[in-house]
Amino acid sequence: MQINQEKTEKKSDRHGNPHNRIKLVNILRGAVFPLAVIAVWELAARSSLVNTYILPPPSEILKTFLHMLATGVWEEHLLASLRRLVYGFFLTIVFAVPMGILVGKARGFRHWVNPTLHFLQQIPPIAWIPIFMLLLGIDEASKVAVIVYASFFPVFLNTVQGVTSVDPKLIEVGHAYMLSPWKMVKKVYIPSAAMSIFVGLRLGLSNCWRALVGAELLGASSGIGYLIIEGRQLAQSDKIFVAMFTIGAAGMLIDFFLRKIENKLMPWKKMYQAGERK
Amino acid sequence: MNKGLVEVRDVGKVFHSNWGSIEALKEVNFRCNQSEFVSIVGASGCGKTTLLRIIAGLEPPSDGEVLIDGENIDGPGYGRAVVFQEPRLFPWLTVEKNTTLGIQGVEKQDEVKKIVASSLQLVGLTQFSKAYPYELSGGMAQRVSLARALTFKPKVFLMDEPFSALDAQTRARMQEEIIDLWQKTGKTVILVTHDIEEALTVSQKIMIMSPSPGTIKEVLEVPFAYPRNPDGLEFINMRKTILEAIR
Repeated sequence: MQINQEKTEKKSDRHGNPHNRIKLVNILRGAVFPLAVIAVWELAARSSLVNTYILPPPSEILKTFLHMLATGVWEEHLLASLRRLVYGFFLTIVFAVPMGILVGKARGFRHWVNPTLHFLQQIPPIAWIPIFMLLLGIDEASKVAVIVYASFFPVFLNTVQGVTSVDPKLIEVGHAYMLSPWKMVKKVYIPSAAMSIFVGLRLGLSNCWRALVGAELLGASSGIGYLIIEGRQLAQSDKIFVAMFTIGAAGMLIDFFLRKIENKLMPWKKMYQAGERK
Repeated sequence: MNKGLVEVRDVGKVFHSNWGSIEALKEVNFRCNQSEFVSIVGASGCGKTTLLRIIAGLEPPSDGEVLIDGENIDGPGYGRAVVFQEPRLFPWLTVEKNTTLGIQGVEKQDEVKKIVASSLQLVGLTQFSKAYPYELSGGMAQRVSLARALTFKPKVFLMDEPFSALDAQTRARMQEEIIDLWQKTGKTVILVTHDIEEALTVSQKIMIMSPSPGTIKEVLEVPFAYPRNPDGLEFINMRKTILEAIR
């Protein structure tokens, strides 16, 4: 019965008042600094302390944003960026995770690929953009390639790391109970590496997002990065700020959802991390 | 066909490391009849765990051979279920799923469920089937690992100090349960322990190992009926004998 009590306690902890209040207070704490900056900025702009041509007041930026939202321009560019992100990130997952598992399991294979990977890892994705454009054209393919490049390493390396650090005692249990190689991967390696893989996915996704904006800055006719270039060319700094806020907010949201998925998929995670491993 | 005859013949084991070689086992010979409950006792470092791991097939012997029902073993196999010193449950699986891991070659889902349910009932954990390992106490976790071993349908249970990490009360209860399980299933059990009283409480035969290199020094039959009385004079005398033999 002890366990049932523990469970209900945890539930009330999660959904009950005290916990939620703490959560809310923390959200408010986190909002203090940005709100203060926005307030100072607004005041400075209104009292003509700064050149509003370069630094428009936040209220003006909000107005531009609402206008872009109403005309559908904002959604169009955001969707263009997100689509590239989804394609690229999907490709990364399809290649980097299985490769990471393979390399992590076949220990000898590491020596063949590690130097190359560590070399390639040093070259920022942005530096590849001209080459990708020459090779793949100026269309979507080159942008997707940049995204894959940007996210491949964190996902791959964290997967390898996760697979190589699987508890050998659990592997032994798998052997003792005659698990098939496939079951071994499914029941031992993947769940055990999942936390590390997710760290890689989150890192990879934020790398993606940054590289994508870079790629769009250098050559695109749509996307959030393109909005910035357009704003620069037309000297519309409000547009640039809308784009910048969008980048930050979208990145945060994506990470938030990835973390939600992570918690959903790994209910044991919290306790596991707390060292209650048995 | 409930066999489970274990024969260990001239088994030796040498470990090599950077600083030299160690002879962990030398010329170990014994025979464990089917449905027999045998304990291996000895001071720590005498090679008893190594011996069990060799019988389990988790470690190859450097010398000699191990036969299960007359067949030479080569790696882990279906006839033997290992219960480790730690429960070694998979943290990402519920009690039910952890138990399911032992099941081999059963395709039908309701069949699988039935086996798991009966195993969990045998170890008294039916109501915890949906719990995760982190929600269990040490004794419960070890019972899940027993249930996992049960679903594996082995001929021989190999237990490596399975109760050493438990508190005294839980350990005593687990010992009763293991006797009960053994009597119900009629499987062969080989239990490694450093606890002489435990060996006297649960087993029919006690093998005493001496260290460096590890070898079997003496085999004693335990003549008492179950349940055993640890305060009985004969029990106490036998404990003394074993204690002296280990020294």
